[in-house]
Amino acid sequence: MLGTLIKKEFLNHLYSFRFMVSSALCVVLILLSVWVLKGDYERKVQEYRANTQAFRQELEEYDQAFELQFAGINVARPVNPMEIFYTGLKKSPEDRGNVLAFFKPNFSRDLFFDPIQPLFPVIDLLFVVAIVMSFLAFVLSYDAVCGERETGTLKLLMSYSIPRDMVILAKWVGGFLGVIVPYLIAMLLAVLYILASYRAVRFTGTEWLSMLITVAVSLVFIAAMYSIGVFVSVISRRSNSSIAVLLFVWVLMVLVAPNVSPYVVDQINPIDSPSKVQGEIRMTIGEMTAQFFRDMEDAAWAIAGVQDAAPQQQQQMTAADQRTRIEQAEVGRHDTRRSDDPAAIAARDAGATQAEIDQAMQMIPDNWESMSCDNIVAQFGNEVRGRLPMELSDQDMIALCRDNRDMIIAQLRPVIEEMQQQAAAPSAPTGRQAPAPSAQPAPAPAPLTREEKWQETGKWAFASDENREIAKDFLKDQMTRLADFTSETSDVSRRISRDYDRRVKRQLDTARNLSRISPVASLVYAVTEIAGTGIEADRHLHERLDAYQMDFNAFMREMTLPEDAGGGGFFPKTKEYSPDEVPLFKYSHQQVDRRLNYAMLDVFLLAAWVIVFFMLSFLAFLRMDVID
Amino acid sequence: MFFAITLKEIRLNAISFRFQVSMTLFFVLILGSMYMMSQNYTRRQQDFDVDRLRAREHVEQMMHPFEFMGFGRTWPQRPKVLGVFSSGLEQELSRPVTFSPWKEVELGSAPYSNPLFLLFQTPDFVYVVNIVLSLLAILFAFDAISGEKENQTLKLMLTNAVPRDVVILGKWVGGLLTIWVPFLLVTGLGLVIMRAVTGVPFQGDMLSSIALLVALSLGYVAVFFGIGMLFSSMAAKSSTSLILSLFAWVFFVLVVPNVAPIISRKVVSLPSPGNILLQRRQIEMEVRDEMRRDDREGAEAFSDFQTEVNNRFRLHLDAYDRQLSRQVKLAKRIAMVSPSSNFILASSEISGTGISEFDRLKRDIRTYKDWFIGPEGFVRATDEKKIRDKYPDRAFPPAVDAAVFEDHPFVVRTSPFNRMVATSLPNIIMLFLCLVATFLLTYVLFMRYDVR
Repeated sequence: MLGTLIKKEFLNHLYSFRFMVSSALCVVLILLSVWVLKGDYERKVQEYRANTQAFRQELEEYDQAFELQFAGINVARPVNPMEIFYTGLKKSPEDRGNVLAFFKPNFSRDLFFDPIQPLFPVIDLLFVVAIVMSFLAFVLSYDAVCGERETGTLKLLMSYSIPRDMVILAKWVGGFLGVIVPYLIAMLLAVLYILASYRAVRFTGTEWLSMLITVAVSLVFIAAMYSIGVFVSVISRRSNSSIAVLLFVWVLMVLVAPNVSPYVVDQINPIDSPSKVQGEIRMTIGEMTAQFFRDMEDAAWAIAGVQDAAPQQQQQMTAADQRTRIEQAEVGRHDTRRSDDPAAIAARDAGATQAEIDQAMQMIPDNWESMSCDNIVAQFGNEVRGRLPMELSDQDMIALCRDNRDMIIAQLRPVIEEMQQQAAAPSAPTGRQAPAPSAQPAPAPAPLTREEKWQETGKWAFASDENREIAKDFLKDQMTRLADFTSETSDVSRRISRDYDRRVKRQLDTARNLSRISPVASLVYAVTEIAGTGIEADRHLHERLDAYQMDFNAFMREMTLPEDAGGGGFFPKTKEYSPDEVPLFKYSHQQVDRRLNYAMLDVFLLAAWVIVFFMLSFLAFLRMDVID
Repeated sequence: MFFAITLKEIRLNAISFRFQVSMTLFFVLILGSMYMMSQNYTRRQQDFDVDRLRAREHVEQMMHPFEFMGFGRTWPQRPKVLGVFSSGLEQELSRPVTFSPWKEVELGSAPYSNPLFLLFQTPDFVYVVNIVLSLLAILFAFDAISGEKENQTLKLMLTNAVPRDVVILGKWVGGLLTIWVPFLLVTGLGLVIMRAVTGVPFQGDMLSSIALLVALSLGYVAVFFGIGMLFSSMAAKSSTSLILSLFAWVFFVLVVPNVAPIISRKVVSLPSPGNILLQRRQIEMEVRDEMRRDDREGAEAFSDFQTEVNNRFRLHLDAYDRQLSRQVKLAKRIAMVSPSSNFILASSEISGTGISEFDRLKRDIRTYKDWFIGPEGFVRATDEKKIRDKYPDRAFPPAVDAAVFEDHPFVVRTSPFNRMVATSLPNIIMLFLCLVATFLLTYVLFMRYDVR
């Protein structure tokens, strides 16, 4: 009896117009999407190979480990054959990543992509099942019971000696078969198509198994939607109102709830945008880098530039010391430079007293050579005195000037010219200057640029064998420091991103749970997880990438640390390496059992939808009033 | 008589159960979407302000030119206000753009970190209108004629001295008004919410854009109402007309827009980006070999190198772009079959989040990159002498003159309103033609309709 009823129900569907249209739609869409996405997959695989090859070639080009360390190693994003069916998160063409010690590695994109894709997302199997099949499930079930009641055939059926439970069971099974037959046929064709193109697409056991499971899950989803349709059909009096209600339910479940939930959660629990966090990391690392270079330059200058003149100065200073020293220098200069007069700075740097500074602060007139002797002595007394063989009082100097004006002017000329030059040149970083004895007021050295300082340091390093050794040790120290610094930045950026990731994960979990009020969301999560293109798979990929970054960092650290048994060269040697030794990013997709684990909750939820709505329609049908 | 029929139609619709339910749904969706998207915009706008300052500070505090060579200058992109209506390509357009001498131009991460934003489409105003409102329009129209026939009231009406054209016109206007009036009401409310949340005043181009967007939505809804009426005057039973119009809806809203790009992708194939980048590496090696003979070093030599590579690479890029624009054009042309894709394409263009805006971004990036790697760009910004002259009183002058980039910022200008309209004109016209066609067809079919 049950068989007859199911057969009747199924055939009833089979001959209907809507069944023909919907199965044609379903078959065409599925085949079209598989055909196109297979082409996409082949292209992606080619891209992956080309990228891997190009990135391997890049390794050959670096002469030194440092270059590789600062350029970072590029990795290609692995492709999953299941993308042919379920594109999932891989919709975005972020196919290459740069692994650098300083930042959390991520996959990025360039400008090569089709702008129409974000507007009209590609149809994949998931789209067909989630949107089209759910629609068909409603369209084929909305009048399953109320339609027959309207036409009066239900009354007729009930007049036979058939138990009601058998009727509803037969209706459910027959109708459900009607919905899934086109889907199964299309899937069969799709599988045949994949098998036929075995040259390009190699499916292994993992893929076939996950394929099978996703089809099973899709069937559960269709059953859930179908049960909802039957339930509404049972409780509605007229099929017109039944379809209206079902359409609302469909819009809410399929098109609204999953899309709205991330926005709702984002309202309640907002998190920073990734660019903000990236900016934060960049800033932090930028500050650290600045400090690193500053320290290095200062340390080098401390050894080479002022070592002899100021032995009391520490060679290695802590960062905090450096900062305060620089600040003091800035403040001090600001005080002195009230009138922007370089003479004043020169005087101050030479250890002059305040009165002398005030004197010197008067501008040096261009025509100073024609000034009166009183003025010359008043203004340049110190300089004159320094250049005379004996100590003279101002009065004596004025007298000397009056007698021997030319001699004094000739003596003063280089000093004043220097002062005038200084007026044009920027001031020196005073913090670093050794105080000269005031008895011997020498003009301040012209401020050096970074480059000049390094040149000076170089000259100093090659001045004697002793210096050479000191410099070698210094370089070695700095290379170790650089390695430490790199690990430190890596740790810092890792910490910030991990914090952020945790917040993102919390938001994501809330949004995911909220969206699970719709079976469509459950379907999307379950199927993409099983296919390995979903959120957890993406997370797994990123975890592997992070782990790879650690490996890469460790390798780079080893390759950039100076070797103890250095040769005779000036620069400390690092280990030699061949490009083959560089660890490469290897990724294998997770096994199906792991993936299934992530999908379990959603599969259960889908099953619960089926059971609940089947039971509800069963009960409602048992109590239904067949007569109007 | 016409008014009587219109009024009757409106009253009939307004008291129906489906009107109450659907309008509640629609109100909640539109208001919710406008509120959420506005909030979202405000937050992203704030983030943008912070990012912009940060990006500048980052360059200012760089100690070593190498830092700049590697990290470069990042330009966060200002979010688009009208993205509240139609987010379109907003996720792509608002990625920060990084220019650095050592690397290719990079687009940073999208403004969202939660992957769910990627999995599901954005529920913005256009999405709600495109999907929910069009479905509602069909629900109101499918039994306008066939339903009355089933109830026998149509026969009754036509026994009075009413010409058929007045009946169909009255039904048309009455049905449309029952959708249009609540729609305008809720959109007005939504605009008030948007104004309050974002604080962006409506004026100038933005006002015209919004007006056009609302007008387009009205037209779009009318098209689907027309499709419902068409099937209603075609089918004898209202259930048949409903099923037919629903299939038409699925076909036009869900299938055509998504299938069009697929087909155009199969017809016009694109060169592989991976190969293009390999070609770039080839060019780089060639140029490097050629320039090695000159034996020059320093920023200027590097700038010359980059410029040369860029110029030679331009050919490949242009070839790619030509092919891509052919593909996009074909996809757009195929998609024109569907009112839904016309609506989406036009509304995203008008909101400044459309495809032409993306092309403009790409163009602007290229122009800026030419400047950036040229002598006026990073070479001037990292010229130590000039920086020292500029900051004579700093013990540690910055490694990079950030002001060079402040004077020449990377800003993607949005198109003026008339340009947007010009770009989307074909889609607007198509939408209008659909409207006229459905009306005329319904008119003719109703004239021949068998009321018995």
